[in-house]
Amino acid sequence: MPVKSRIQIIVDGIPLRVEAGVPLLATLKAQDVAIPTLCYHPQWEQQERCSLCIVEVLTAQGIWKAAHACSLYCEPNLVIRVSSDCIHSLRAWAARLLLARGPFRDSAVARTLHDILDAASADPDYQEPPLIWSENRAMPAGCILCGRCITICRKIGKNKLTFLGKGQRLTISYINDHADKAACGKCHACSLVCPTAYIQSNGQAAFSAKLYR
Amino acid sequence: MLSNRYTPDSRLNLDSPEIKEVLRRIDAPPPQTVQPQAAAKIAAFLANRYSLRTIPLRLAELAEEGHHQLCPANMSRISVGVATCGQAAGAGFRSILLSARPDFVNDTMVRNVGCLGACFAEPLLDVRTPDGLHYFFGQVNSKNSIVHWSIIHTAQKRSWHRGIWLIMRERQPGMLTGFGDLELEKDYTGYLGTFLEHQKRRISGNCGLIDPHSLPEYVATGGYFAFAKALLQLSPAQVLAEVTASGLRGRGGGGFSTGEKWEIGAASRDAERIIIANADEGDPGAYMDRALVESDPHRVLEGIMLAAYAVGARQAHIFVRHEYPLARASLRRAINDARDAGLLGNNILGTGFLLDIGITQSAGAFVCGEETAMIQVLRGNRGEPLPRPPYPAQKGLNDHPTVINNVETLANVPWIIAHGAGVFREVGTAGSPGTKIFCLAGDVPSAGFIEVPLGTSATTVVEKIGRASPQSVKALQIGGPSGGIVPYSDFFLDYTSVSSIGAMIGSGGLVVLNKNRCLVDLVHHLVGFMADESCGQCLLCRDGLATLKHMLAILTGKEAKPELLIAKLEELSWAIATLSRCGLGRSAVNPLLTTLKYFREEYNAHLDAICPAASCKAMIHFEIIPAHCTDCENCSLLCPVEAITLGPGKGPERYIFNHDRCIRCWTCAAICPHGCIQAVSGGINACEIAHSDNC
Repeated sequence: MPVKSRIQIIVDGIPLRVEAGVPLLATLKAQDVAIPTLCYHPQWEQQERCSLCIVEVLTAQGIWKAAHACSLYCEPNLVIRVSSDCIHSLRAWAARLLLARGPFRDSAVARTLHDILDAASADPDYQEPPLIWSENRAMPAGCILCGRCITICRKIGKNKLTFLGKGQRLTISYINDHADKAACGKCHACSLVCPTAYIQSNGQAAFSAKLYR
Repeated sequence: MLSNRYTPDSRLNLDSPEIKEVLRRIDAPPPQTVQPQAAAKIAAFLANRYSLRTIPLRLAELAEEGHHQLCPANMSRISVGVATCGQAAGAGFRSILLSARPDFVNDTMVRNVGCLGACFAEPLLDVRTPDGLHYFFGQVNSKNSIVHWSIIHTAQKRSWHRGIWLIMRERQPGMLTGFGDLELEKDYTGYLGTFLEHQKRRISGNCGLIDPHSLPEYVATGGYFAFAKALLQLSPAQVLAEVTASGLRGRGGGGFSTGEKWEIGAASRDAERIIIANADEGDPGAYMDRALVESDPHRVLEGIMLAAYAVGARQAHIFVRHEYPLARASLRRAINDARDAGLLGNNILGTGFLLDIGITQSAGAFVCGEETAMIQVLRGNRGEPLPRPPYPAQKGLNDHPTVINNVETLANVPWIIAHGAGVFREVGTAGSPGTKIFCLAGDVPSAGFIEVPLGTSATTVVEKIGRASPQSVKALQIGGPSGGIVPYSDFFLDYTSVSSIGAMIGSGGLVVLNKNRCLVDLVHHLVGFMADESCGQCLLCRDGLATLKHMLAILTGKEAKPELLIAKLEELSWAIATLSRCGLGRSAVNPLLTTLKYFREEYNAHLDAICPAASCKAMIHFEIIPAHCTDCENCSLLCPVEAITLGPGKGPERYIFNHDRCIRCWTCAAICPHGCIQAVSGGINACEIAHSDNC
């Protein structure tokens, strides 16, 4: 295996020596830079599903441009910052929208999201007007539709879960195959990767009962 | 197949004395007596025009056959516009009635053609008499039976009869190769002529004149001559250079340079290259792709063939919207005809070039029109956009370089190859050369499908072509739900000018909005459309747009309005535009951002429960203007919820409106014979909301 060249990137004004071409988010996590994530998994490619891992990249024109850290790769002369008003505002919007998908079984999720909201607002007692839309959704509360369960199911070769619908009708669904009854129920892989603990036992129990509501 | 084999002997030689004589006669001024113009030699004429040195024999045969149908020497020809728009207006009925006539056998032929673009005149019918005059009849629907005899008499007696809307004359009688060969003779309506006169019909020049199901008729207008010219005389690099030199830009939305896109594909090291024609238009109010594919499918095919030749592709796909059954049928037939004529398949025109075209039907989601999502659908996956780069032209369908163009862009290519990049650049601006098809809709009397040079002023389009009165127009919505809403003024319709005011040409939808349209409500509707069509990958696009729609519903509804509502709207829409992966999410907030920029006072007024356009149901009530009221009681009788009651006495004062019971159905305002009931915003409802405002 060829040794990857070490390059320098600048994070919040501090130069870091990193390997070229590796995902930025993995590098930042390894360097203990605080970036909130929900859908990120260290061994998978980009997700861009939870919109929490926002950083700002300095473009050639000298403008800070917001981007998902999970979709960036370490390149020479990459200059980013992980904290600014703009980043906090974007993360706060993502957190508000994610909270509207709750309540979550895993209480750590709500805590992370509330922390993001607190970091964004200057006044701790400020009450948000109730503007976030959370009705008429096909997906029951507790799932943020990050698709990690679908990815893992595909990766282990079972391929039993999929997205169905679009817009507010988007759901994750279990595809029932009558010829292959024992396909789900044993591996529990999806429940292990679920960031919100929505899947308690397996994908079939979590998603198929809701297909024909 | 025998017709596929070509030897050099089977091409017409332009140097033969016989052909030279014909060419000399065509160049001579037309004789005064009407004489069918050497129809047998139409191919030679067209080849001369497009500087094609040798004509493939099959093409010459097709051109000759088509010319006899298009300009019959001693028969009249009735062309009925039966595209989707015509059929919806009742053209199928008229076409069946006319083609069933036994007395037409020897003197009149009836053909079904596509759409001329004059939606307000549908169903539109054209009677061509052998002397080269075209008599247009508008609105020949089943209610208008009196015009039926006029059509028959015009066709048989070949003279003027009542009910004609417009007469056009062929510049050279017996020679019809597109709309450009027609000149206005007399306009009886005063607007159909103006509608056509201000246009420049290049790409849509055959629409509404030729039978879309007839390959010979398309060839008779010069079709496939550009393809033959490219195959026989030009190298792929020359075709590519010509398209690049023309400065053609994508007509589907982005406005990316077509030549550059092709160059990326042609420069790829992968030998397997693919062309995709995008006919999956989903913008509300835009139908140029449908009109083109339904009325002139062969032009789209020829564009695809030229693109494939230039890029070096051997397979092409047409991605057609699910809701366009007629367009699909039209394309399927065109592909079969082209294959039978040896224009598709192996060894095309004896040059060894091979190409086949397939049709893929979209599942109907708006997002599938996005390039990367389309590739996913073609592979049988869920239609979700992928991050770019890599761009499809580098790595697309099955990881092969894939050049994706809108069908309107491709329809421009035969014209460029036939006439040259220099002639193409003669109209339009330096940055946006050529013509563009717009779909003019909304509050204009003459709505329709129009083709004008890029850089035409908006006033020409709206006032001259559309006949809207300038005082009544408030705003223009350009480019569908991802375009922008801009105040109506005298700006130029080209890529740079339109994007400088915050909108985009997009696919070319042009919706005229008059002063009675509430823009906040319209934006609410558009954002709702985009929220429904979001594929759901990105959190901000899926839930953010739904929240944005909810906020706009609060703004236009009866609910109490939180004080920071407009600031929150702006903040959220900026977040959606920043964090979405594909063009759908990034541009979905454009109508909101442009209206906030230009019409902010409307948003502020809605905060105070006043709708300046008197349109939002929650903020209006109805009143009588006493001056015109004749006390006819119609409003009271026809109100579906009995919200208008009659008090004692006489006169307008006795009409009592119960605003709580009223459902704002506008029935009273619509049926009042004197137009004296009007919607008023503010007042009663504003007070109610002020009382309930505890936020």
